[in-house]
Amino acid sequence: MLATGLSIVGLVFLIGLLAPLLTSHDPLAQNVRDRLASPSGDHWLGTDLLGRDVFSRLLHGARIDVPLAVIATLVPAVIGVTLGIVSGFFGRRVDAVVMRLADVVQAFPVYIFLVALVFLLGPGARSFVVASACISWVGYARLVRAEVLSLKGRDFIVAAQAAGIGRRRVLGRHLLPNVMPQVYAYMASDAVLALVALASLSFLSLGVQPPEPEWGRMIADGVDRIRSEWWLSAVPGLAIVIVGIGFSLVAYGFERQAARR
Amino acid sequence: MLQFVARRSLQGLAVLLVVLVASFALLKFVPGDPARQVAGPRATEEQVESIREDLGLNDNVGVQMWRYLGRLVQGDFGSTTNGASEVADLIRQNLPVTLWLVSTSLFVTAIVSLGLALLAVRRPGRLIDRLVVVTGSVGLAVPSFWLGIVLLIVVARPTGWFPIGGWGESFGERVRAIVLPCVTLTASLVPVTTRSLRTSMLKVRRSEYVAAGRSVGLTGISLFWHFVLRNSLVPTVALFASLAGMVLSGTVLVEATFALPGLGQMMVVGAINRDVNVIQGLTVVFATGVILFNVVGDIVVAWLDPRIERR
Amino acid sequence: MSGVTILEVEGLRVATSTHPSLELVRGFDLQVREGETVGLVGESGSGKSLTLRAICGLLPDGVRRSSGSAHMIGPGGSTVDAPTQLGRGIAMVFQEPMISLNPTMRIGDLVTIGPRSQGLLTRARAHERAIELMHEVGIADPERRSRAWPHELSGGLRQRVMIAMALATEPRILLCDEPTTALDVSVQDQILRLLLGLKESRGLAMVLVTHDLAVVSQVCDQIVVMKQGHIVEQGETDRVLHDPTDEYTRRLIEAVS
Repeated sequence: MLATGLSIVGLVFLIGLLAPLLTSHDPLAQNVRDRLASPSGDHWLGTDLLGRDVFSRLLHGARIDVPLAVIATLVPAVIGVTLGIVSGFFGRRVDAVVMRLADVVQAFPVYIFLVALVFLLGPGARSFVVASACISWVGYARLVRAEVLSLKGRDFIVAAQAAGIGRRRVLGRHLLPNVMPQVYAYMASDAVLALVALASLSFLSLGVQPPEPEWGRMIADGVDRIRSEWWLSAVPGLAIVIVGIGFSLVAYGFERQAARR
Repeated sequence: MLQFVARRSLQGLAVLLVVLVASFALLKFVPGDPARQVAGPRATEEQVESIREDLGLNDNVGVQMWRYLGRLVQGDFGSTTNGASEVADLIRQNLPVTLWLVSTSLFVTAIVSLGLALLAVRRPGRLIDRLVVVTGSVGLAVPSFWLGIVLLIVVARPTGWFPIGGWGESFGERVRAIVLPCVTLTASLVPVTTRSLRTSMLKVRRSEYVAAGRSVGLTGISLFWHFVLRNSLVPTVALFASLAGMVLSGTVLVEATFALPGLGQMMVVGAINRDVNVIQGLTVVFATGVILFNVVGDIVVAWLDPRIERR
Repeated sequence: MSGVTILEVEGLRVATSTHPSLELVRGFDLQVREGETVGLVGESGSGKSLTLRAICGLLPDGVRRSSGSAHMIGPGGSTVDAPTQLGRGIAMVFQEPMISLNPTMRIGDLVTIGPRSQGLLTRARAHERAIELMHEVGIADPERRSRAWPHELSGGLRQRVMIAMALATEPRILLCDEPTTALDVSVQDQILRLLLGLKESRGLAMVLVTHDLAVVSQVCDQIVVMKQGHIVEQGETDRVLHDPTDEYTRRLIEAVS
């Protein structure tokens, strides 16, 4: 399962990387006279409202969506895991502050918070990553904190500390390895959410701005034409679903690994 | 029990207070000078300064916050950037649509996911169970707005039974208008809820006390009612209370996709138009909704589960 | 104690559902007479709990009875499949009183839920009956206790409730899966004496799963020794404990004395 998931994501990533080589059309090149063309030998998926080649935009979209989803997952993961360790290990006051912060963040519905933050920071990819970082860290923090707390009282930790082994080593050697599979599983399913969130924000014109070929944005562009050129909206969505399934499989694989421990 | 209700409600209010302060802080971080925006590009420095006085922007932050909180409590959310309407009025206008969407979706989600979870749990590991688990994972990957569009393409367009977006005037029109949005929102919730319900129901089903029940001759409906249902109820209620965030979150996209004039759409429009008061007001309203859900959920759970401290 | 056999188990085998060749109980035979107490001993993993559960049909998910049978024998000599008699002649007492009682039911209701659900007890009579049963198992102040929730009671009290619950079904035989292992040492003795008392007062037959040979020597008429799913020795308690034929049995006895 893990392998399948990773290969799907890897494949899409590769496609994105090689996109300029796989298609001769420029994803940004407009040709208004040739707009809304049906799929043909020249344009495999036809052209959109501004005459741009849809297939090329689809492939180049992978260069935007996949890396951004990954970054928007990594940043909160690092922040969250760190805060979780700090909170669980150094206890009491630090813990109280971090947990109250988590409560406040979680009091807002995710997309409401996302829209509000993007409103503050202005639309765009960078705002999306920052906003994700502000929101998604909570899950990791709670997960890691719980694990740290449950391990803190265990005999071997106390023994290690009594033997004078530094806190950092205890953390590194014992605590982290135990919790990492769960963290990886969480990251993978978070990646799905990040991808969907990015597409959703872009759909709402609050994410990646035109003329970049982001998949969510492409779906929005095609909405007015669903009566006739329905594939303009349908195909990018399919791309999102496929990548999402890829990440889900990765998550499933890590979950099973975590369960085995 | 009453003490618990009081205590929990106070906790909720405390969180709400923090939320209000946070949303006030939001205002402070918006780039640009509000006084200048109101005054217009051709105003003189004196005019801008006097507007700044009027808006109370020269007072210290504490005083401003106090004033802001006071206004909120009285229901004054300010007006939109173009000054055309009061935010509070707009919220009142758009609230019913969102309430309709949220309540129908939660209702359908409850029925569907309970049904699916029950089916899956009857024979763990078999086909239905596997299917349910897989759909759960796949479901997350499907963006709700895309699903909505696909439904429009595949269902609304060919059949003509449902409008391609919009809210309609008459009751009949509105009923038809809410179907596809409800289905879309439900579809985004069902994977999550079914998975959780299945896990907690399995836990109950495999528990020793259910075996004990069977060992004294309980079977079928009797066993289900007294042992399985009563113990599954608590995690179910807890789950739905925690759904508040997800369902309110989902209204943003679903309303945008189907052009429903609700609070979610108002939020998006407000963000695009850079309308601070709208964003602020809605953030407060939504957060209040989540907090309310959670507090009520906790109270119901405490009432149902005898193990929880009620004092 | 008459010589009439009331439970007959023949060639019972238990295997995992996914891999039928992986057997956890490999051929178990037993005959229990009216009023007789049988001790089922063995180390952890010997299959004794699974055997007990297989007899009455309470095996967990993933494990099933692959062959063999367990029959209750009625007064006229009629045989009935034992799992169908759960709550109608055969009842079980579980190991962990913390998790064996329904947390959302009050004790008074829980005790009589068996016969009530079978329509054998009216609601009016049920409360009285609950108090009687609680008296019988030695629960002090039963009126007040009947309103309590399971989590409010101590381990020993919970186990007494568990026993009362089983007794409510008027069983002829009681299957006890390590009923005292999870309890404090001071309480273990009380519960055992209770069970012994019930054997006398009700003429109850019992199959007692335990890893404690001392208990077996005090309480049981017949002993069955299990190891890795097999029966290695079986017979009258006195005979087996004084003159074991099997090496494993010998070692078990030596470990205790």
